[in-house]
Amino acid sequence: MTQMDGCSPQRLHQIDCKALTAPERVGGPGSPDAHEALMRYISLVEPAYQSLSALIGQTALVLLLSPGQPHDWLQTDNVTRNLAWAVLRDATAQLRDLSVPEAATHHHWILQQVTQSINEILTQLGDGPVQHNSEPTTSHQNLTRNLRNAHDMLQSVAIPSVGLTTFDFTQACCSCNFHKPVLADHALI
Amino acid sequence: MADYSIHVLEYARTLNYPKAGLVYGAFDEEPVTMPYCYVLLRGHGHVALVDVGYSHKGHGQHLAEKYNIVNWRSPRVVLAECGIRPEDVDTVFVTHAHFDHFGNVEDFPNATFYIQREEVERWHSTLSLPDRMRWMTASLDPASILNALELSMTGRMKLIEGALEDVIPGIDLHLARDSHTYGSMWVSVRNDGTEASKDVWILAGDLVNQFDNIERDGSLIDVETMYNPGAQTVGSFTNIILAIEEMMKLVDYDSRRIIPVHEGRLFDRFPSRTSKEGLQIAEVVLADTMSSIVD
Repeated sequence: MTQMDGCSPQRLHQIDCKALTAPERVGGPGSPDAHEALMRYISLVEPAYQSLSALIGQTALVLLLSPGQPHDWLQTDNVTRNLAWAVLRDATAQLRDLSVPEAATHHHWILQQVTQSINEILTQLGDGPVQHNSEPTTSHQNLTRNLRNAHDMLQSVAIPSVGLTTFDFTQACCSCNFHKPVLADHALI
Repeated sequence: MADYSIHVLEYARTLNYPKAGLVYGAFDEEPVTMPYCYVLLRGHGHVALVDVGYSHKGHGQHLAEKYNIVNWRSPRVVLAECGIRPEDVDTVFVTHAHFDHFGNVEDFPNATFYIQREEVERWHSTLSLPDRMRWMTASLDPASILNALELSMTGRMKLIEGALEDVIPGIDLHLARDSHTYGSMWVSVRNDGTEASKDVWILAGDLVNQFDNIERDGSLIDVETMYNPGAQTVGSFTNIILAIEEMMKLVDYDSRRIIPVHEGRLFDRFPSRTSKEGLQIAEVVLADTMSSIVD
């Protein structure tokens, strides 16, 4: 597959495509020590996960608002642009520095793919103004598709049972009935 | 003469919901059953919805388990009670971008969606704020934004700027800036088709959750009733109150004509029935050309 629009071929694959060389999911944590390591990992990965989720939403909003806009937000709105890159850098660094137990290798690998995808999308948005015609362009459509893939990847490794979701339920309008989540002993992530 | 039929369709509910979540200050009152609904409008050759609910795909099942949301049914099942398929819906008015109003976009392949541009733009800046401010993005699902983006790729997402009249005949859109959300929208239906209509119905989104938001006992201040906003807002309570006043002016202060979608007593106030799925359907008004679906 040839490169298109600056995206590496791997970025164009769907989450369940066999061309992606994801580590195999392993069985549940097993021992108490392994369980503890897994819970520690989940606790420490949560900020990066939420950052990536917010970035996806933000980037989708940029693409949604850009047709017809006379400027590229990433070039003219330095504060927003710099914030987005800062958030992505922090998330990337957090993931890089995490101690990853065996039970979480697949989970961690997926998150790293998500950061790389968002990196490429933001890079493309920063390379020049998104087309400002009233109709979306091929570039726009490709970026949208890649963003959807990134979101699907992120959602595929959501762990609702411990509140690791792309959507923050804890403050949702129905959260008054919220039950505190727990990780099942045999949770497979 | 009524141009549109208006039906409120329950698609899920949550039990024992704290009243104070829907009516600010109602801390000592009994919990309520809170329905989740969307509103079906039919007339002038259009089949329109005000909001689309949320889907049980993705997070939906988790919601059900964690928040005591019960009896969720898909739009296909819910709309079938009115003899409508999701494919028949040609227009959707999205009052705001919360997940339970804007989550089920993909189920309506032939609809054009309308949302306030300001609603979308302001979420963009809010999402970039630090985690300690995450409260402000409560109820906003990034997947909803992605859905909106994908709709825009096919020209089916219209970003509205402020008020708009006759989006479809007799139906107007209104912006309530910085209220329940940054760009909440409410819908008015001029059901006699006239410009200075005397037959207006308001679909309030979450600007009005319950009757108590408009008809709260005001005896403490020697008025019969007073406005009392809902508890959840990222804007201001003042703007919610002002939006309610704007709605009430349009309906000549007949509060019955303002329709909340999280109010279980709605189904006592209007002719209603319970579907075979155990969900409620309220018939707010019937167009001249249509037969009742609740009798």
